Amino acid sequence: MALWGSFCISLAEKEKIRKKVHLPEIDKYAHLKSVFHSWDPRIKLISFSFLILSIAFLPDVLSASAGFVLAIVLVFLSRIPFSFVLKNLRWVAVFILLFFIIMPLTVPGKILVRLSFVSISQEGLRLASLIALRAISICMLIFPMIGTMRFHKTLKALSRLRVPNKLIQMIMFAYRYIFIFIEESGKMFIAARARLFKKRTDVSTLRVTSNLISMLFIRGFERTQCIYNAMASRGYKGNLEILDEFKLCGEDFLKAGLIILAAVMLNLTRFIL
Amino acid sequence: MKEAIKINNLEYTYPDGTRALEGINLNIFEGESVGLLGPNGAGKSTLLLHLNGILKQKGKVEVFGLNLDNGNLDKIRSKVGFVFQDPENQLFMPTVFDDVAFGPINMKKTLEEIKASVNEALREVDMLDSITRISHHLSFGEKKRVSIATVLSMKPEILLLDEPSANLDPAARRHLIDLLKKLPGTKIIAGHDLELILELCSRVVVLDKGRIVADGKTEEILSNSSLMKLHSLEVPLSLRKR
Repeated sequence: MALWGSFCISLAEKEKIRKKVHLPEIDKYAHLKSVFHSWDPRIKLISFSFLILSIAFLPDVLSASAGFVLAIVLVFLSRIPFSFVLKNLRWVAVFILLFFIIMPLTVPGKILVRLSFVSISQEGLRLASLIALRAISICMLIFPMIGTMRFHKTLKALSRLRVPNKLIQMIMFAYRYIFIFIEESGKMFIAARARLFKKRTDVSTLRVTSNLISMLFIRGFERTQCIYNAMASRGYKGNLEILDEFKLCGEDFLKAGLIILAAVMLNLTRFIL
Repeated sequence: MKEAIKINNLEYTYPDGTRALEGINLNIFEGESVGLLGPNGAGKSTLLLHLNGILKQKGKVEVFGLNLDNGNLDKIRSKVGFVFQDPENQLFMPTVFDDVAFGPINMKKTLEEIKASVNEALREVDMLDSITRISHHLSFGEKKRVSIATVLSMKPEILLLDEPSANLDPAARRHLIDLLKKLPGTKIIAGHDLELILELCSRVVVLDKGRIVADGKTEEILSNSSLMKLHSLEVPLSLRKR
């Protein structure tokens, strides 16, 4: 019995899986109170999208730096802890690091340092910095934009903004079932470990891992059929209707005006400074 | 008594060739609570899926006199509520409110009616306090209760429950049994929890290899040890002679 118990996945084990894997809970701090939390989701999405787009087109490092400072200020105003933002930005940082390695070596321009056959160009560094500042600012802005409301409110807002229903359904199901997917993959790897599977850098590990992944896909497929049955039995015919009770007020427009003004000012920075 | 469900010569074969149902003839009467028993793979879930129009092949199913075809599908689905075994499949919306409102929205009810149905259904399962919670944050027992609310909000006259007590701890199971006892209407409960079926159902239908092998009063069937053994079942503890 004790042996059997050790092979079963208890609730405590499930909790361990949850803690071990980083669940993508973007709305973890949606319960806080800030100027962004109380903002109407629809107008918040539009305003931030405008700001994000304007940052994406900033042409020089100086205005991109101003955009970066603005993003930090907006994250600060959202009251979302910086530790949470930084934790989620680490993969973006890894990606950006590649630009700093490749671009100074490959982009032609004024040479800053030459080490035998390798030279670092000023233009390459400038371009890498510009891309990094723009990318990090945009990613940081996702947090005050989406992280200040529950994810279902984001979906409802997207639905009201006439984003195609199929796309909303895909995002909704992906978000709803990612937790199940992570939990199931965790359980499968525990079951494999319970039968003496050890991760190594060899063909056998690759074979077992690919089998586990393929089983995950099969289970995923079967689950979609079950979910579809559950939806069909409650009258689903391909279109997902979501109820919402959004109400716009003057304050929402004022906030939108400020964000749009900030976006315009950013683009004017190069003429002012 | 009025017939709630009438099944004539129902057959179903899965795409891989497995014959799941063969010549099923069954009448379920209004207000009855019927237990559907059988070993794994007997065809219990497949039979339930036919009563809601999710599966269809050969044979005839009538619900309150309405023939189960595409023309009547919406009407029948609003009368027959299906609670699936795994609540993770039943709760696919982001919040408890959205999940419970899903059926009434598809039934084209007004906003006020939807809100009233959601509140009433959640109150019935004692989950009204969780109306704004995120579905995947609920405990398994809570998910099960909300799953039942998702069909109660459609005010069905027939409730189909597939293995309702599977994976529940004893307290959650007891809560579920008490809840199901309170619910009015016709109920068909498929599963292996014989004590639950003994407590809730007055009639039992035993399926094996896609065929009905026994149909009768719950105590009579469940205490028939040779019949139970023959179909990979066993007499519940409370009916065993000491």
